[in-house]
Amino acid sequence: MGARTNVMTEGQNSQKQDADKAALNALGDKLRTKKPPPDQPKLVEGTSNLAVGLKYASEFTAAVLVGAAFGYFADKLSGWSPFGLLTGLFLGLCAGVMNVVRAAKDGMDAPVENTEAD
Amino acid sequence: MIFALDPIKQFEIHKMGPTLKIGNFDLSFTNASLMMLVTVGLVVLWLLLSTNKRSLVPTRAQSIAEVTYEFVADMIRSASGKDGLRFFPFVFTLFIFILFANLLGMIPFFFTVTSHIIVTFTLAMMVMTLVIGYGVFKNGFGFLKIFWPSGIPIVILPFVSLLEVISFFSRPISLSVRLWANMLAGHILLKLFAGFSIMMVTAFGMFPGLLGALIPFTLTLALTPLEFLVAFVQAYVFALLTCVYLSDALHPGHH
Repeated sequence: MGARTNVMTEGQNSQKQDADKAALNALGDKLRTKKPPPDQPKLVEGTSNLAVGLKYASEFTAAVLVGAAFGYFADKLSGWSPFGLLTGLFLGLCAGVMNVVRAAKDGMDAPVENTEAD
Repeated sequence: MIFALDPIKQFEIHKMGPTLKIGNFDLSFTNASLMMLVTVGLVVLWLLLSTNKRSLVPTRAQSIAEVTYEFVADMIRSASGKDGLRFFPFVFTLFIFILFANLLGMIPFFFTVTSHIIVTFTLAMMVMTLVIGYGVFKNGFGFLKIFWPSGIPIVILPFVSLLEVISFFSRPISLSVRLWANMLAGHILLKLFAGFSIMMVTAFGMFPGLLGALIPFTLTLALTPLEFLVAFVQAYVFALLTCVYLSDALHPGHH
């Protein structure tokens, strides 16, 4: 009687272990899909908050400056003043927001293999 | 004495030797030129000395050089694909030059080359010239695809492509400003706190002065390793962004 119950529990144990293993594997697969591949470079700016701020500030300002410069030269060439500069500034602002969103999404460091899948 | 505490003083450029002028350009040798030469000289010396034996089982110096090589090669491979490796010499040179310039700037009384925007902007313009030049050479008009993102409704496509153009031309500015501003701000901050602890002592004398200098001195102590980290990370970020931009030249339309 005692021996039979022993066998029973052992069988249940091994069954439970199998189930655990399967669950563990499933969790591992899930984690692997969630985690980026380890060799993917990241634009880590270290622990320096200044660097993080400068990243977004430079991305945004650079686009505004370039947009304004485009508008200014459009004005110079065509005499639409001041609408070229206004349009340029507006477009520069839009491009700046686009740059910041891209930088925040870390889209800048996506490896080539991954961008194809997107 | 007051000059030693001036946080901006360290970025001043002095002429060394005779004035050399070609047209309107002042090409005189300055302390910035000297530091660039020192940087390049040190890199060349390091790589020549560490690889002159070329043993199968690397010595300590040789394995440092090999690890550096692998580091840059892996970065290029993952950011711009296998065919990006044709730009290895360029990216490696950029990375090592910026890294050495940044680290040399951390030595007291040394001039930091990368704290001048004209230097970093020149480096960024080199990258952009290579991207445009190689992109047009390899893809012809297909290179313009980077301004024409796919999967966007045709109604707003012209607007978005205008934004893409502006975004593209803003790259050299943001690339150079990031490196420059990080180095400039870091060095000013260090000098400011270090100078402040000296000012405390000169203003209040030994006993209360040293006590007051404790906080700025601790901050200087904490900021110095952080600046070393920034020196490395900014060189890495510059090289990595170069790879990302070069991948646009290699595969336009993958935006």
